[in-house]
Amino acid sequence: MTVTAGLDLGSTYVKCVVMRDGVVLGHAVLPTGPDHDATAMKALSKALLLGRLERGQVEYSVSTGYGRRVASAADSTVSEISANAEGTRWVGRELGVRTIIDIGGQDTKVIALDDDLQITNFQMNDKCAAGTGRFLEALARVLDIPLDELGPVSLTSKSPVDITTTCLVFAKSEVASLVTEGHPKQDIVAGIHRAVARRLASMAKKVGVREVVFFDGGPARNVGMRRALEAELGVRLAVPEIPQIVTATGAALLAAERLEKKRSAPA
Amino acid sequence: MARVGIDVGSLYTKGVLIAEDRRLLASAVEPTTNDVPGLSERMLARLLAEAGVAMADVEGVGATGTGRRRVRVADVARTEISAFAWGAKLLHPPVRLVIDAGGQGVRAIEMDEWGMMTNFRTNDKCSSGTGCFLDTMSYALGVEMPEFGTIGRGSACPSSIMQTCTVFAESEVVSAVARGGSKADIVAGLNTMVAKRMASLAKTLAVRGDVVFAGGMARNRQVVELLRAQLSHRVVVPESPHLVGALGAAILAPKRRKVGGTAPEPGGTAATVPSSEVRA
Repeated sequence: MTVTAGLDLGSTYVKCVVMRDGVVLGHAVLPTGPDHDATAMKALSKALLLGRLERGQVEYSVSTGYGRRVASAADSTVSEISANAEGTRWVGRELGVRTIIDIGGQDTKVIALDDDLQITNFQMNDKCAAGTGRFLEALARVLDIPLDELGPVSLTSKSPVDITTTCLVFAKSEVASLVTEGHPKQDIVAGIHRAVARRLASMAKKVGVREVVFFDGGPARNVGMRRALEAELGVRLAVPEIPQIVTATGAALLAAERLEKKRSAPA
Repeated sequence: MARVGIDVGSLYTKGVLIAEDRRLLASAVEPTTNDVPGLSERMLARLLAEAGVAMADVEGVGATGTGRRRVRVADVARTEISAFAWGAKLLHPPVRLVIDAGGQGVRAIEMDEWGMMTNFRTNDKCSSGTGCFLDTMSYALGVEMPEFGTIGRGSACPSSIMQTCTVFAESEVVSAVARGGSKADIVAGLNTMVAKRMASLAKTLAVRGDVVFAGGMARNRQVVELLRAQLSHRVVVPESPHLVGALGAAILAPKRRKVGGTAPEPGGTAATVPSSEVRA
């Protein structure tokens, strides 16, 4: 019996998954506070509580994400790209995934997998807020619509408004003017989803889009974002049940693998 | 006969009235509002009153800037590229490169020895390094804009700003302040980043002689010093760098065809504006 934990310290949320022998027993998603490590500890305790496990039962932990180096609970770290691919191999094991699209709070990734599900190429944007979760969050605030309602609201749109600016700073002014000009909110929201989808599609085309395309990260819960991305890419997307924890799951799986190696290594 | 130039920028609208011999007779600066037609009309009236010139004595009104097409009182609308090139040439005839850093965009214009524009680069997709970048940081730091050019000058070790994106850099600055970072060091770091971005944009063009640094950003003394250190040519900053675009627009205003000795009604020539637009 092997209990491991995966901690994904993202810019906006900290995600934790605890696993025993390849089964997820508990998970937690907490907003990132000023103290990244403390939030990670809280997320771990919450996931353990759900899994009815004790802290002492965790034999190995791996951290990933933007804040992975500050996680004092972790035995080692792994990049988000590797953890996300590992998580996808397991979460989407019957799907035959060849492309992963992941929207995070402050970054976006597209990962290409070969027929053995190994990473062959990837694109990452962590330099610019356009096309990230932050973009959706900030514009939702301008529109005064709760983040979770963006998807359902956008589905009622018949003619999405074109968002002409790329930069989030400029897009905020543009959206504010669109509201003043009297454009229906659903058309603006649908336009925002399309703007994000276009950026993702151009990134995805650089690595090559092969089906099946797997979509994870928090914004994958947004049905409007999914539809817009499907329209831009011209493919159906496979979306996991809990899109936020795929990368943390990958970290927990890698923890089990590393523990195995440590055990079999000569002392 | 006088001429008027109005530069409707993303943050501020600037206006000038110049004499026949191109002397500056009046100038005005106001925050840009949604009502560009009204704002420009009031600005024109203010310039006329300040200079003591009657509308009948104005031979042309030129507009430039992002809101140029909405200036109803203008006879012509020209791109910022043309306006800044002509404005810079008026103030410093040997100019070979113009850098204009405004509220939402940075432009570099390359000119030949006769003052003809030969190439240009703009960055208007991304707000990093623009006036609104520093505006955002000024708010995050609680340091007023006029202080931005001074408080960082004494900094011994400017902070290195890791993030390029305005949105991400704002978070970085907020956490730097929370960790007790010195505001002078942070401001110096931000100014360094802004100057480096401008210099690298300029270096994508051929810098063959004097550089005129225009736009509101040129009022930031530290950015000017840092830009000078980055470029190997002389960097000239006009006395009122934010008025260069408006000056250029005034020079580019055409001679108005007079109808019975009176100037046309404001907005009377608006229909000709889109067709005379110079596509840069």
